[in-house]
Amino acid sequence: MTFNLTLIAIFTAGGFIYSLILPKSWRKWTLFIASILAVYALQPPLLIRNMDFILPTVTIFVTVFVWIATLPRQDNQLRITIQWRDLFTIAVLMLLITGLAMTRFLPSEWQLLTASRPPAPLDVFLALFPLALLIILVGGIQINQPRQKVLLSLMILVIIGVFIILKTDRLALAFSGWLREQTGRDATLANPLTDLNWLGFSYVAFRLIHVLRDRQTGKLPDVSLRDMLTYIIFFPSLTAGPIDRIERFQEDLVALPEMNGRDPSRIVIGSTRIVIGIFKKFVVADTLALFALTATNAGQVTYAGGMWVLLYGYAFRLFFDFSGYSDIAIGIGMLFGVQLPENFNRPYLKNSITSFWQSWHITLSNWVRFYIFSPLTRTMLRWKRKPSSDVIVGIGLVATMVIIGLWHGISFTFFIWGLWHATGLFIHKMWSDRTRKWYNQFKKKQGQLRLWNWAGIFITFHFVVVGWVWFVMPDVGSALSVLSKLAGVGF
Amino acid sequence: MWNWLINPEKPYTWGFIARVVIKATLLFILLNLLFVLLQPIDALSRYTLYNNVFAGRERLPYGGDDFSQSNAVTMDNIPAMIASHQIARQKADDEFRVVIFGNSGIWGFWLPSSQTLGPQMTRMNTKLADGRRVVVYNLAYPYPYIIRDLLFMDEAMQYKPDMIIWVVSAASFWEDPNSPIILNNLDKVRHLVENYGLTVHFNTESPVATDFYSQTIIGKRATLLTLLQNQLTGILWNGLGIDHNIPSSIPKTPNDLPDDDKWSSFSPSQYTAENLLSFHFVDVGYNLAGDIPLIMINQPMFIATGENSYLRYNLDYPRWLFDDYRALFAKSVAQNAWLYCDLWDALPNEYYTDTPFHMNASGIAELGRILLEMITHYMELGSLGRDCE
Amino acid sequence: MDEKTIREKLRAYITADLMRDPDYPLGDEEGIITGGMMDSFALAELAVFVENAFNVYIPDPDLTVAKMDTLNQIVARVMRDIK
Repeated sequence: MTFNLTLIAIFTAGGFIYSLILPKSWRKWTLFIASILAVYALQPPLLIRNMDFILPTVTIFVTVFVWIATLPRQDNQLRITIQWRDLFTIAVLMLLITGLAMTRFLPSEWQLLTASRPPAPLDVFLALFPLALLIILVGGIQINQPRQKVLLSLMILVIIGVFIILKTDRLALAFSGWLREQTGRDATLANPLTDLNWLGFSYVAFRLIHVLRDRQTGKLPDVSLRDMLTYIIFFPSLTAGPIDRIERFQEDLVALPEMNGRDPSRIVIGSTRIVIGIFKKFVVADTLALFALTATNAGQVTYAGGMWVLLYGYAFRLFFDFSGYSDIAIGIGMLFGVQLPENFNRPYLKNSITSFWQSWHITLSNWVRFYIFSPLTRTMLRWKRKPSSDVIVGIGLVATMVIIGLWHGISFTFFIWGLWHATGLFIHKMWSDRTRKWYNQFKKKQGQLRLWNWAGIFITFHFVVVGWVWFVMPDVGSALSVLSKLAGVGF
Repeated sequence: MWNWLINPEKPYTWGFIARVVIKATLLFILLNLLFVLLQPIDALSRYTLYNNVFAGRERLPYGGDDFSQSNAVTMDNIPAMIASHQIARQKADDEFRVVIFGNSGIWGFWLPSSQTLGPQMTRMNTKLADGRRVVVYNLAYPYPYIIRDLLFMDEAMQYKPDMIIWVVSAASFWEDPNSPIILNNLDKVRHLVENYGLTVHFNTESPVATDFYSQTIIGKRATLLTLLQNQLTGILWNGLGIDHNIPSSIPKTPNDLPDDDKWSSFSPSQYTAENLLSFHFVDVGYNLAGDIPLIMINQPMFIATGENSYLRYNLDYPRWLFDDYRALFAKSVAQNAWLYCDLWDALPNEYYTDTPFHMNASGIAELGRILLEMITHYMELGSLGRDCE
Repeated sequence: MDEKTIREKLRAYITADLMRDPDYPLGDEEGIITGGMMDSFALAELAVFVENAFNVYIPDPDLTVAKMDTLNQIVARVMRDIK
């Protein structure tokens, strides 16, 4: 997350200008251009030369290819599917990127839109021009529907492949070494953090898969290239979500020219969300960060109570940091007329692990529900000799939660974290299936219901908090040591 | 969850926005004006959770570059530093309060705080003839900056010490105005210049901006943040008992030395100890201490025996400088009737760790025993004993 | 198939197979998931049932508590795509 206060101030001021002054008909293009520029501006500098210019460009062009692959096709109909409006978008894109490269000739303190000195504009143009031609040609080529489905699956696999490489420490290291060799640099200095820190890729990848998958199931609406690009790299949510859905996002875009920019309630609500988010992230979370569990201070703790304090510190820091960030993103989105989905809904006050997962990083858990859990369980339910529905849900939960875990980084500790939550969810399902009638009788007895509710909140919160140990600690041994110290053993 | 915001009782209007903005701006301006008028940083710094809500530190907070590992922030706010130390706690009736100033070796580099000089000496449970317990407070701090020691002493006097021990070495007496803790406390340096006879060769007019803006809450935000961090790291210090990140292995200071007779960049052909070092700082210390006994100690150090040891005593000092320093300082001591004990070679080499002045826990214990003997001797007989004088 | 048949088939399936309480008098506007009578995991089962019984495919992103909480919502979703 590379949001700092300066950037938030710029985005907020931009939001005011956009709402109050900008002609209504410019709004969509403004969001598009701002998002394209933000992909470059938010990218942290990288040590391999030009890599911090190449990666944002790749983000954009991968999106363009995904858009082409998802263009609606009809059988036995020969026509160029790419439209004039989209050709225009490609032209604007070329101009913007070449223009960004032109900032190379400005004094270095004015190269604010790129992470480091951009490559030569001519090189950029020569690299992008054939790409643009290819896009136009491919966009015009007729592919019949079955082949399109294969193409879409192929693209999903490629995105997952890149994802696995970047998120697996060893593969990322090897890849960064390989890149260094190709560019004639010292491969022994390879470090994915400084070479391959690809801003927003995790989120971009999930949005792209959503688009590809929805085309496969016929749910994807007709989207212009400009709108698809704006959706994938929308600047408030580029770095860390929320993960919106394209059909919802598009509704907002369509409504933009009609939106009343001077509606005071949108300004108040948006600004308040930003202020609350800043407070949560930069005051509460940054304060809690001082006594949040880390691999270092975990080794220094001398008694169980101290370990619990650190762990609570971490749990609340994580929540305030991430939900504060989401508030800021949602607030900025509102100022620009886009109502990003909520990402958190008091997750630590939920009385079951199932409702925790409906209120923690909501847009991510919805994504995995839609694209992992549902399809997987539905496939199993269609089998002729299908297992019992408990087994199916169990398998679905393990697959889903492990994927959420590995999404954060492909390591054994994240795998265990996923299993931990899958187990919790499964046990809760078994328990609630068998106690539903018994529990429903409390609806008439408020006092007892409240008691059970608080017990549920307490258990759920601690289940989640203990799970965070796997999130913080770098390896299984140190995580187990923290867990045993929480129980007062192993000092 | 956002219902209160999205569905207000009365719909939001531009008038509402204007009122909120105006009120917030006025309040903001008012608070800042008040802040500039009251200049509350020093007073705020002495309000602390240390010694109230949780225990004070056993040595001054020093976090190096990364305080997340050491549960301590490095700062230049002397009132806050000393207020977070256990010296700021209430003095017990039967307590004989001894305060020690010195450099990183006395602060206890690479030692857990419980193994540093103050706690070790206090644990030795020494009682004076009048029944008072000797309780020792370690107010040393990394780097030998004598002006900083004076600033600490000035602040610490309000916590009623009964005796001050000031551990120095040659480097202490070299006036170095470039340390941030001195640069950021020039007003306090000037206070010593004006009231206690301190003379310095640098400009004490603060290079730090003193304009209106830098006096506001916004201008002082970094100072305020450090204050807050100092309080918060106190929770960790109390929870973990750790205030210093100690590596698993510490190298030894070398016994074989380079063929080089320079002290820092000073070569004996151009400089003498006399024109490099100034002892008048000690006078300032005695002025600050007033009636309270102040004992000067020449800090024990590692004395190499290997290669080039005829040129140098150790990595820090060439022989010419240190020998001259000892002779000159002894002369000043005699002239001014300062209380002084030269312990430069009092401890064997096995006690030293990575620098000629960093000691291990046993070394600190040995030094503590010597000092306690000296304290009791002085309190009973009015002299330091040993062969100090 | 008319709406009434579909509604009763769905009501019977939900109470018998998902809620495992065939005698429960499920109302048209009652929150089935938010009311705690079945969990959201069962939506996949419901979708497969709808596929088999009415030949209507409900895409995964529509299987949410917000969109499928009451019998009325479910019936409307099925009716939208029924041939």
